[in-house]
Amino acid sequence: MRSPAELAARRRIRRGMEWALRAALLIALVLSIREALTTMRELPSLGARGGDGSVRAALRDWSTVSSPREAHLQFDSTPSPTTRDWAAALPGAGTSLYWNSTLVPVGLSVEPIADPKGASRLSIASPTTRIALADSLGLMDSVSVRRVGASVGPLFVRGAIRASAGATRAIASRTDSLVVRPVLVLGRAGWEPKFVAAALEEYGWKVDARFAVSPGNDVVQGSPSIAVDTSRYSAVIVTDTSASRYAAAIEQYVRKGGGLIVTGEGASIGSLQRLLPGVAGDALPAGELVSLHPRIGLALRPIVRLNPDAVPLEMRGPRIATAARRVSNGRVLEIGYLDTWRWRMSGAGDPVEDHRAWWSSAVSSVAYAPRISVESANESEAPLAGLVAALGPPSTGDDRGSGEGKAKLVLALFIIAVSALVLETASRRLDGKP
Amino acid sequence: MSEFVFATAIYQSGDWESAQKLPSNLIDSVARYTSIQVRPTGVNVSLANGEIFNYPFVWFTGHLPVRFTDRERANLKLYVERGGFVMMDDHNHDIDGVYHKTAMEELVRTFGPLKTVPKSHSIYNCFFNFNDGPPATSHELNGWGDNLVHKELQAVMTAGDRIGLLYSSKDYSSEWDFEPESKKFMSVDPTRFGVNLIVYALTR
Repeated sequence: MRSPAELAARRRIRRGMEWALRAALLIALVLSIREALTTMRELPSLGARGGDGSVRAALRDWSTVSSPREAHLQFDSTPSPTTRDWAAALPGAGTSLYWNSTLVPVGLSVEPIADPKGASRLSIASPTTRIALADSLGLMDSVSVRRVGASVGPLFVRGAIRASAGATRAIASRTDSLVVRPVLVLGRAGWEPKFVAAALEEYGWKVDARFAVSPGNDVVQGSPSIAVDTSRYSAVIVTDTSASRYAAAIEQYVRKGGGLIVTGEGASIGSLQRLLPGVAGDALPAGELVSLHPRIGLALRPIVRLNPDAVPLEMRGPRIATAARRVSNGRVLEIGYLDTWRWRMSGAGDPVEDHRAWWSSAVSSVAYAPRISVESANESEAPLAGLVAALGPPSTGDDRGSGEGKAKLVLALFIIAVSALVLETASRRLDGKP
Repeated sequence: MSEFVFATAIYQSGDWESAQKLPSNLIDSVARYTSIQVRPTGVNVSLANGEIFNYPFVWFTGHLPVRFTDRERANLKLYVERGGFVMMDDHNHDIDGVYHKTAMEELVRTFGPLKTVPKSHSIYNCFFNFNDGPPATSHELNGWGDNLVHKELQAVMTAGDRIGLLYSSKDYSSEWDFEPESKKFMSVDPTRFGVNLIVYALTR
């Protein structure tokens, strides 16, 4: 049997619990009413999908008429930079943004080549295997992209370049221009230096030349005086030992950034050996000039004892035909082919054009050509990466909206209120009160 | 480095071999005045086969009518377009003669009208200086043939003012086709302009 004191204590505890439950009920009701009022004031979550036009129309509406709590965007094609930046500004106006896309990653870069005609080289990266290339004049080519990407060029492009993979389109323009200077050809009067100079001139290079004819007597082409310097020449081509009188100046020129090509007997100049990628080996005789691979038929002094930092560029079977290396700030290309003029005179197909293009690309590969940056338009060189940079990572679906969370909160408050009411009522009834 | 080889063009219609001592006289002069590596003997190459493309300098002369076969014409055109140099000379020194008339017809048919080479052209001063243009030959001065001193040469030009084919009515074939021993009696070496032709071909 309980004592009167114990009974009084238990009654006090029960009354305290009942007041606590009434307080919990009241708090739960107030919070529920507040959540209900907040939800009534908030605007709905809106979404849009499609191309740039549809998304931009939605953005216009959300920015001027409706102001949704959440915006969901699905990009089915590459948005313009304006659309992308517009979407990125939405969170600042109080709209949470979630987005996704069907775009594939494509990256495009356009680099100028040291070339008198203003050629460019394109670098493309994408997991997609086939990319279509177009410039302002229309479709140019399509390229297969391997795991390590693809490089295309030299190309002569007009305006912005577009690389398309399905609905994804990367756009880029040349942002730099190169200062291309003349080429200096040094050699004895002979067919090889003559045809090298002619090929480069016909391609569009400005060519100065010194052809040694007799002791102290040169045939001069171009500038009456030569200074082997990067302010005068983009590249120097040495075809035989008559250029040995310029060896010291050539070495200084290369170390300052100049481009040097050495071919034929030029590789035998002792004072230039330390610049060369390798040593010229014993000559192999000329063969038949086959149209598909004309240089296979040229006589060759293969490059042997390659310097560790030199890179073989062309091979003929196991033999190195051309190789290059960097020397201080400059680049040196050693060509083992002899009498390339035979390719131009006797080759099949379009040997004149092929010979020109090959020699021009050789010069381009070593040419000293300072860059000048030009203003570029607002491009989308990597559209998917640009979207992620501007809008954050795409939505995965799990983070879509706080609506569900709010619904759970209201439900929880309701359960608390009902539980508190039931427990308070039960407590009073058990105490004999109404 | 490949040496210079003096080549004489063989063509079907005429007497291509009419100046047989000319190659050795010009080879001797090139070796004497320059440091150009030159093969001691010349070669004869047919215009009709691909052999001509191995020799970017070719001498073409004769007395008789010149009529190219289709193959010769095609090869000649391609040869000049690819950068070869042809020196074509009228061994008759007669602009009213059969060689000149027929050769001109063939050249115009193949290349179009020829252009006059100005006296300021680099072929006249690339080694020896000929400020008055092409030097006169003894045949011209002696009234041989057409009894004219031709002041200018004509050419097929490629890529601006580069000469691909040079045509002469001055009869250098006779002027340079002398017995080598007689050179020592000449006060002025007449082959100097021939050296200019070869130096020009090797540098332009």
